[in-house]
Amino acid sequence: MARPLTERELKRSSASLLVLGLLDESPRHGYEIGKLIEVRSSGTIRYQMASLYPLLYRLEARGWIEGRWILKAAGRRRRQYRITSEGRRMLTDERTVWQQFVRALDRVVKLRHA
Amino acid sequence: MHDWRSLVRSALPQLTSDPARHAEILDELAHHLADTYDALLESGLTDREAFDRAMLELAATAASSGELRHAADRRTFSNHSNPLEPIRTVMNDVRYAVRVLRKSPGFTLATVSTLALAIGATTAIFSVVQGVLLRPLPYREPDRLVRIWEVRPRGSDRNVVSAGNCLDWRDRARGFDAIGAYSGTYPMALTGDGDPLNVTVSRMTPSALAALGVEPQAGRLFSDAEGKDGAPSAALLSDALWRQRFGADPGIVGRAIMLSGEPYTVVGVMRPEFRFPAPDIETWIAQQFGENDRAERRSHNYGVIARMKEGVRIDAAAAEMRTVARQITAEQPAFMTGWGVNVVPLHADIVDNARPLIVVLFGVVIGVLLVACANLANLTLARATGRLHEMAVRSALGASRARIAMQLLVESLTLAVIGGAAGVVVVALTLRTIMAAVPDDIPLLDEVRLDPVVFAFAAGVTVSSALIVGLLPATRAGSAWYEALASSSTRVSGGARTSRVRGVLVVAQVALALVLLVGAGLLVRSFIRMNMVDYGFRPDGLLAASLDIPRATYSDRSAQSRFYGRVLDRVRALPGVAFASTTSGAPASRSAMTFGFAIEGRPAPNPSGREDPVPLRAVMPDYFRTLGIPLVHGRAIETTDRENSQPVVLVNEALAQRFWKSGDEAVGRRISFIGPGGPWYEIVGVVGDTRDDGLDQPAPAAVYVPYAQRQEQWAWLTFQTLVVRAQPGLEPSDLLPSIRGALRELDPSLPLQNVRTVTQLYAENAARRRFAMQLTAGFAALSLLLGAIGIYAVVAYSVAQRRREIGIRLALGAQPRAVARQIVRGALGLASVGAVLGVLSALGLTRFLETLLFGVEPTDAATFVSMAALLLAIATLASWVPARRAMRVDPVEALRTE
Repeated sequence: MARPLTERELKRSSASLLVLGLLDESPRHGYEIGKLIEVRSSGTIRYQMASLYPLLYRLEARGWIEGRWILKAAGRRRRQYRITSEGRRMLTDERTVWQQFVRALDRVVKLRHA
Repeated sequence: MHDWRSLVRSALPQLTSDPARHAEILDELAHHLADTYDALLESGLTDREAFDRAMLELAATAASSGELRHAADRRTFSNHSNPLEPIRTVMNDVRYAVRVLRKSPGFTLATVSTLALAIGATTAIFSVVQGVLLRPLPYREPDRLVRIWEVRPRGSDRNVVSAGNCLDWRDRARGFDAIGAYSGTYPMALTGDGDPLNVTVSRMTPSALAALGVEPQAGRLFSDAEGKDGAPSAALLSDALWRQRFGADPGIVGRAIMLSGEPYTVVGVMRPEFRFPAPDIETWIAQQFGENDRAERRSHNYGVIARMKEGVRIDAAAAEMRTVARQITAEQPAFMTGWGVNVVPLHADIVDNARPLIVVLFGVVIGVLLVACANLANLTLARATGRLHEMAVRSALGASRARIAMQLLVESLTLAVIGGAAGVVVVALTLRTIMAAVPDDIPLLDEVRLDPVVFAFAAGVTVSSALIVGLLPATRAGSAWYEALASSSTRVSGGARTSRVRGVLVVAQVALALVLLVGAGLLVRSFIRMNMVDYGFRPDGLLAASLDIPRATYSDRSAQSRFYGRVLDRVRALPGVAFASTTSGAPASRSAMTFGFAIEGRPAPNPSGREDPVPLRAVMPDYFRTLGIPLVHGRAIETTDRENSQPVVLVNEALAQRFWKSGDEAVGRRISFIGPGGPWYEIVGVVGDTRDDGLDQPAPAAVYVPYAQRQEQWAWLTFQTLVVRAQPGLEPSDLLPSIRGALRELDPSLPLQNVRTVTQLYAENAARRRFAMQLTAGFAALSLLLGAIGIYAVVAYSVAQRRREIGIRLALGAQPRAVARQIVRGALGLASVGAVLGVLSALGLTRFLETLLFGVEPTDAATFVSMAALLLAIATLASWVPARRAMRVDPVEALRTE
């Protein structure tokens, strides 16, 4: 069980970075966020409904993102999330942390040339 | 198109305490699933594959719904170890149940109203059981209260008691704290303080009040001195009379009131709940006994109430009373030989007579309740089978078998609670109206109310109904969907076992319905028989009203008979009156006094020298013509039968035949009410019998004396019942105003009371039987209807299930009629099993009806056969409707739909 645990831990620690980063580009709804993560990571990172929405609600509760209902075409209602200014500050911090972290890893074990 | 929202909703528990937030999350997740599904379809998956993948996603979410909840509701850090979790689950189930039930309003309405009716009826009758049979009497330590009766030789074991016995019992019996006597209730005219008013009074000894252990709300009870001969007359007022007549004036205590022209000092006011010996009692006056009364053993007039000493058991008290009675008999052989004594607990004495009716009605409503529950169980089972897909999805989403059974049970409980609450509310609102329909002669009806015991009972019935209705479907559906999951068929069927269960339910319904039908049939037959019985006189067109004249004004018997003669002269002259007369005992009532009598030249069986007592009526001339009682031999009472002319009597045929071979032999014989020494009354005529003890009883022997010639010691006989026959075509009650007017002219202080038509009198006599019949027939019809619905539902369901099979058989050349016949036969098979069980149960149960039947045996074969036939006919009809549908199955269509 070591591998999935690692993967899950990685996912968990990177989750807010991924969501905040995507929302920084544009407001999106839940399905779209999940799909984009999956597509852009070429399927490496995948969020099931079961974990995606708890994540979104937690971020929302912390005030980093906010969801609101908007009417789409054909009368369909969607809940769209946008990043808040506080979220943006967090994103900046997270980006810095991750960049430093990846660089550090790289220096130690030469990730890029592996 | 899939309904993602309801799928999500059924998969997830309540996520947050905020319903709006919960709904938002459900919406959002449903959109997510819809998007997922659409994308999967676009990528080339089949509908089924895409749906399954989406369901997997939902299942995973449901499995980790705790996390979702945790994230959604930051305030409640709930998890599965939360002690409130089971409650939350049940609340969720209730919410879910309400949603499901709202979605099928027809089913919900049918179920709720059936349960409301059944539970309401059961609660209403139980409130009577509780109020009359179960609740202790409203007296201090009521278990120690007994009534003591005389036992008449070869006669009633509850005979009213002579004054001498009352006194001897009181003085000799040691096992009692108090023994007291009271009279039956009768009217007295209350005058002064406004219009004359008839009040219902009873005479009570001070010891009777002491035995009952009651306290007045003002003033005091009777003193021992007031119970002695020659003391000033004392009265106690009822709370109602005190408020209505005297404006609740506390100063009334110590004042005198005029009752039938004589002054009585009010010594106290009783509490509103004290209504002994009858609910309509308004005033109690002190019964006075003197030493003369000790010698009185012939006239039996008093009820006796006693309180046993602490720790004395009823059998010990009865044994002591038997010893006392033997001593008295030894001392008074002339009067008391053959007489005994009977000690009965007060509560049993009051309610025993009504017990069979109440027990029968309670049985009937329980029967209806069971039929209704079986019916609803059937309906719910059918519905649960139809919901197998829903169950399958829920199980796929991780709901355990127990969870689903629980959910179904919560659904029936929700239905039962709504139905039960509706039933109880309706009963609470209409209890007084319902009680008004209950025959008056059932005692303690004013004790009937919805007390905590009744509510607890209603709650118990509700929960039991829910269990009966829901448990079977819950367990059946639980296993059925596993079967359905195991098979790969997209169509889920109930399976053979579910059909068997439903068959058993139908058999039970049919059996119960038949029991009720047989009961109703027996009661209806009794009622018809009774209505064919000859009254012995013509009750229609007759008006009866009671009158009493004060002895102060009309002191001797000639003044009294002169007054009634004048009343009749006036009334007969009124337009619309055909005949009029008066009697001391109303027709169709047991109100006549009874007297023993000696027959000249014939040794009597009793040491007193007299025959066993028979009802005696003192009547005015024209009595027989007014009532339409035929004169069979001799002559009737004439105006020439005066106080000082040769005393005469008339007897009825029953009496004539008891002592002589034929009626005409009786004419010319002489009888005496005192003893073998005379004075003698000559029998001048024989009249037809009247069924005064009720239509279901043989006509009693009876004696009629001219009112003018009643013995001097009967001068207390001042009250008479005025009977008036209206001219043909007139409504007797229309005569009332002019009769009142005529009376007012004669003596404005005399109120007419207790006015009714004689048909009403008989209706009241028959009320108990009519009530039992109507209620049982109504409920039997209801259960028959429910049974028919049950059969219809089962057959219709099986036809729907077997469409394919029926289609194949029709395609292979089977005759549609043969197919239909086979279906009906199947249903009749079930109904016949039910009918056999029903007949067997009815044979065991109808004996409880015995006291309510008349002219019909509890095992009357004609009733059993006709009711079973009726039931089978209805069963045939109920199954024929869906069977016809089977005939019209299109084979091609039936095969294609699979």
